[in-house]
Amino acid sequence: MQNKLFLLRAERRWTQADLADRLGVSRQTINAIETQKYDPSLELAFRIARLFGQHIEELFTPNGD
Amino acid sequence: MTTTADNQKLTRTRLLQMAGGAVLGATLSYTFITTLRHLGLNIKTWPWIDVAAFMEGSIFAFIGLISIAITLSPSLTAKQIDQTPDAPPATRRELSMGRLQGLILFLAGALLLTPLLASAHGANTANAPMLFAIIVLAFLGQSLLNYILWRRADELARIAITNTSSVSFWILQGLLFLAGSAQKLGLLSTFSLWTAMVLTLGVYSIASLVVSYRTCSR
Repeated sequence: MQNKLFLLRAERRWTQADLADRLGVSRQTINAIETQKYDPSLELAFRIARLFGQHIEELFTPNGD
Repeated sequence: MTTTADNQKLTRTRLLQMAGGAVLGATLSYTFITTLRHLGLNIKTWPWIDVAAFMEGSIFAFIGLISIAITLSPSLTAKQIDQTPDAPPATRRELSMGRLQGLILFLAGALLLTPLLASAHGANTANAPMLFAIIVLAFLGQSLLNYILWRRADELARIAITNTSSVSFWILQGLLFLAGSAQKLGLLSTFSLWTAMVLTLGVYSIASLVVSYRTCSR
C-alpha cells in the first residue's frame, strides 16, 4: 500500500517522533508505514486520516492503482 | 523516506556498530570464559548442547545489559529506534520500554544460565529443589514482564511478536515431526528436554531477529 504520510509530515515539519506522539504509536511504526514496510490497522489509518483532515483513500492507495 | 546520502550514512553507521559490537562481544566472551575457568568450569569439556545453551544465555544476558545501559542516554536510545537525521532524544516512555526489553532479555539469559552453571558446578539433590524454586520464581517474574511489554506495545510491535511466534511454531513443529518420524524409524536416538528447549530457544531467537529486521528496518 502506498501512502502520503512522509509528505504530509514533512509539510508540517514534524519529526517521526512528533507524529508518533500525536498518534500514540512508536517511531518505528511511523517509519515502517512511511517506508511501506507496514500497512496500519484500519483503526490507526482512521486516526492518521483524522489527524491530517483527509479521507483514508486520499492517504492510502493500493499498489496496483 | 531517505536520500542516498542518508542511506550511505546509515550503512556506515551500521557497519561501525557491527564492528564495535564484534570487538565488544569478543572481549566480553573472553573475559566471561576466563572467569568461568577460574571458577573451575571448563566449557571445552561440555557437550555441544550445553555450549550452545551457554552461548545463547550469555548473548541474551549481555545484550540485555547493554540495552539497559544504552537507555541511560536518551540521545543514544533515540539513535537505536530512529535513524532520521532530525531525531529528537528518546522520551521517558521510550526509555522505559528499552529498559523493560533489556530486563526481559537479561532475565532470559540468566534463567538459561542458572541450571546450566549450577549443574556444571555440582548441583545436587540437597540444593536442587531450592535452585528450581528460584528458577520458577524468576520465570514467573519474567513472564509478567513479557505481559507488561505486550500491554505497552503498539500494533507494529505486537505484530512482530505474533509473527515471530507463528514462524517459530511452523519451523519447530516441522522439525519435531521430522525428529519424531526419524526416531520411530530407529534413525535417531532419544534426546533430552534440555536439548529440545535449547534448540527451541535458538530457533525462536533467529526468527525474532529476522522478523524484527523485516518489520522495522529500513
